[in-house]
Amino acid sequence: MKLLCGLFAVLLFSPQIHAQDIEWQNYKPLQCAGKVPDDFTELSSQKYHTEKQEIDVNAKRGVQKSQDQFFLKSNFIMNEVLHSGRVVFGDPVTEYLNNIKDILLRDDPQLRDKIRIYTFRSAEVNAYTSNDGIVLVTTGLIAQAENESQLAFILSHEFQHYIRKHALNEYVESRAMLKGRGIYRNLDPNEIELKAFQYSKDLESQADSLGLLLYAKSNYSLEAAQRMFDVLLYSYLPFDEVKFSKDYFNEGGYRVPAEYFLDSVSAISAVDDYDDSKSTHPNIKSRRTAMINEVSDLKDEGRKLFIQPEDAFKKIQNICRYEDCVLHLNNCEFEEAFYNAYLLTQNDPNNIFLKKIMTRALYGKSFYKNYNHSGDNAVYYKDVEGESQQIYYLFDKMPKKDFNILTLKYAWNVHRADEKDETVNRICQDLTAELESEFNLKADDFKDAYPVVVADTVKKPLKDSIKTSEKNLSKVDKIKASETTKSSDYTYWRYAFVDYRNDSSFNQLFADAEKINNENTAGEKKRRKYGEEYALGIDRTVIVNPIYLKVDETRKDPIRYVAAEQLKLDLQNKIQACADALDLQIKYLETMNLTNQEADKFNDLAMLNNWIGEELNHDDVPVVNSNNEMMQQLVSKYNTEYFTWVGVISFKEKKEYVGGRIFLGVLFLPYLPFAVAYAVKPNYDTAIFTLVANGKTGEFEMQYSNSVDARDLSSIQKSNLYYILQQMKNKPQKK
Amino acid sequence: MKVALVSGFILLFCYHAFAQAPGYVGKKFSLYYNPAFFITVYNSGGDGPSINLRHDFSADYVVSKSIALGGSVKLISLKLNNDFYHTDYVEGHLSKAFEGVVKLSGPVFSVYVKKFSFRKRGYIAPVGVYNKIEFCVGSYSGKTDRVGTPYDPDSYDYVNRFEYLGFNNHLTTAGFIYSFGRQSLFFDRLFVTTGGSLGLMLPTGIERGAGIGTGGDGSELSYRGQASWRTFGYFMLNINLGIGFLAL
Repeated sequence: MKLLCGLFAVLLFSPQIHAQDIEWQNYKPLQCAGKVPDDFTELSSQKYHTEKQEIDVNAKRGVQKSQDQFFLKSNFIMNEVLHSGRVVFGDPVTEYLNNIKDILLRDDPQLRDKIRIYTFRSAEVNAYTSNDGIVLVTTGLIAQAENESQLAFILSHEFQHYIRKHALNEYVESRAMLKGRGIYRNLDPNEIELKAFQYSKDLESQADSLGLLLYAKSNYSLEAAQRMFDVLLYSYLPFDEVKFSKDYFNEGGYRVPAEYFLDSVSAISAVDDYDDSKSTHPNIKSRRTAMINEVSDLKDEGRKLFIQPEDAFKKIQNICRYEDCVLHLNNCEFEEAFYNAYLLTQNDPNNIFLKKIMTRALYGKSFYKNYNHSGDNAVYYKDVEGESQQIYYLFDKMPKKDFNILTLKYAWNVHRADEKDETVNRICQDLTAELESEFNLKADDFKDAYPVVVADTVKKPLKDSIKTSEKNLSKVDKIKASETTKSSDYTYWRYAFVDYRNDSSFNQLFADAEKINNENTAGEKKRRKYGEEYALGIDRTVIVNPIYLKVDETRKDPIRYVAAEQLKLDLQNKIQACADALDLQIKYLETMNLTNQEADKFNDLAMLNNWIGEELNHDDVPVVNSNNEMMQQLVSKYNTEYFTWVGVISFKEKKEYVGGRIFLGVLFLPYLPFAVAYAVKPNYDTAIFTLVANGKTGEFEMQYSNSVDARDLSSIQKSNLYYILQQMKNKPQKK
Repeated sequence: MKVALVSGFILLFCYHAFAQAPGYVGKKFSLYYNPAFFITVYNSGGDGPSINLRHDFSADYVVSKSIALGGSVKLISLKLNNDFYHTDYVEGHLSKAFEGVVKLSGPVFSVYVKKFSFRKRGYIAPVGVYNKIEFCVGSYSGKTDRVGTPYDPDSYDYVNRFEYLGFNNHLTTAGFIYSFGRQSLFFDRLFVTTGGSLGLMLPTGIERGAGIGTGGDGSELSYRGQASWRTFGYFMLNINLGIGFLAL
């Protein structure tokens, strides 16, 4: 009865999952909702000082120091993650995971309150637990899990990491290993490395074992938990294995040649009994075997794969799969984005959102190819296994021009399905402009009718249609058909736009492309020379989450977390003072300023983080950001086109060869004063940088940095900040 | 009144002509008291070594991110050694003689360009490391440092004031001073300046004496030569330590 009441409560208080229907055709990425949890608003230094109370005063001094360092680093790093925009609260997925937590910990309300679960928007398959009870579960993991029970098992495992303070213990132990303290004295580095991996594996095994005990108390399926290990084994693959249709892009007489596809894809090579001596986790076989032994006395009968409604799981799983498509696009992993979206279209073939994901993936890849930009996350097709390898192969092997044409063809089809989508329209314009400027192709270079032979059977592949119809053909037709199919004559890409050549709006694309190219050429001439000052003429801007990093290389722990956090708060006042002096209106979006009621601002920050992350990935490739629509909303919301990222990085550099210089000074006395001066005078370096993005055009209007060989004094910061803001405010000179 | 009007005009001109310069949070006009000092390297004006001290009042205006233009008044204040000077015997009068320490004083005016190291070291005027070159013109004259009692009243008519010798007491000097240093700003207003300077200040011409005596034995010329060398040494090498105020 108690359980039933609990479940009823769980289901009653998870309205977002059940009450909201997701519009898959118009999918909106996960956003935070409701009250902002204290985890997101509390300063890292406050968290550190709170956790510091836990230091074991009876422990040895070295251990106490390691614990202190752990609390310092873990809190600051976790806050960085929480503020990255990738961690979501109050959303349907987080609610669902918290419901599982409530089910697992129904008998332990204290622990239930201590553990806070959030969704981590990452395509990686993983979960993380902090020392103070924050559990992050990636969307990648949820996308791959087969049922609620498997998620419950993962959470049970993670809870044990928290209960047993595994993160803290592992850090302290690793420090002891590094320092060669206690039992690690006299061990060589290889032995220490193996010990470190073994220690980590022991903790994981303990979490598996104790997690299973907790899990077994619930009514979740034991078999599902075992199968979770298989899910983990294949987690490097996409969430499904579906053969990619080689006809996918074919239409009428336009057929992608077979040479751009593999005859067969690489077999999946994962084995569960791999060498785990240098792995943080035991291999899958060991984990599975250990589990089987532990549950041998238990029966799976009566246990369930789903305690919450199965539909709810399907929904959040689908959300996470959609999220992963978006995340892959953000990370410029175009092949992954395309294939994941392709997989999702298997159940929803006409989903326009997924088609747009695929369009953007093709578009991104097309521009990356044109600009010979591989991106930071590029994967070579030979390193890929399974059906998705076809996509990697196609994207790699197809020549730039052909790929550009294929992308435009696909994008135009999507545009026709949703003509109001400005981003897709812009994509079509960009691609056409590329065809004109890079490949010198005009509308007239494309055929307006399919080859005679296939004209009547446009929907069939060319060779097939020739075969089927050749019985009815005359000798002349047969010869003509054979000539048409010769590779020298049959340039398949010329038939890409047969269906649209009479479409005036499509032809207008080519007319506009010429105009765009002329404008771009003129724009290049206008580009500022290096070192020239900026004059943007901005009256209003949004300052986005400034960065402050303070590094002292002369210390063992060089990153000065606490000092930097305080300086970051001061930086805000300095920026405000400079903006006031210039009469520049600024709106400050800063994670440390957020109150519990400002989830909307948190979402804005998350979006801006994603936007800038992707933009930096693109480097100089002029592609439309995949967050473009949301950026336009922010432009309207904050009533400015300009978003500014500012940062200060302060270094105290470590000096080299001090002893050698002094020694040289002793040998050659006139040099001694210089050697002493070098030894005594600290070397400082402070870099102040800014990026100003135009949200409307998606371009960086200003990229400026200044490095000062001085400490991060207030006066140095202010004079630079003022100079930066002044360049933003200055009106361009009229010529 | 005239000075105030001219200063006001210059400031107004600067404000409009260089409105795009960042300055320090928009503030570009600074005032400094930047005394220079060093151990006396020539003719210390006493028995032992002494310290040269030069008072330097300056004002500058930031005209770009790395350049400030300004002007200064430096007050020469130094002593010549316990030397013996006399005039020729003229019309039955005893030669007048003076023996004592002579104080040289007078203003030196300069205009300067102060360049802050932006390109190499990242400093934006008026904060940070700078190099300064200034063109100086000044005039000074010798006076009695203190009234003393002549020790040999038989041979000369000793005077107790140097000025009574009637030497052409007016000397001029001109030259360049190169300075380098650092301006650190505190509380958004207060500068502390440190640095050093190298000067090349030369007399602008050797003038004949025009007083009662011409110093026929070269006494007047000797005085002028000594004064010129003394001034040259005074400007040659100095350490600067001063304060400033960021005004507008």
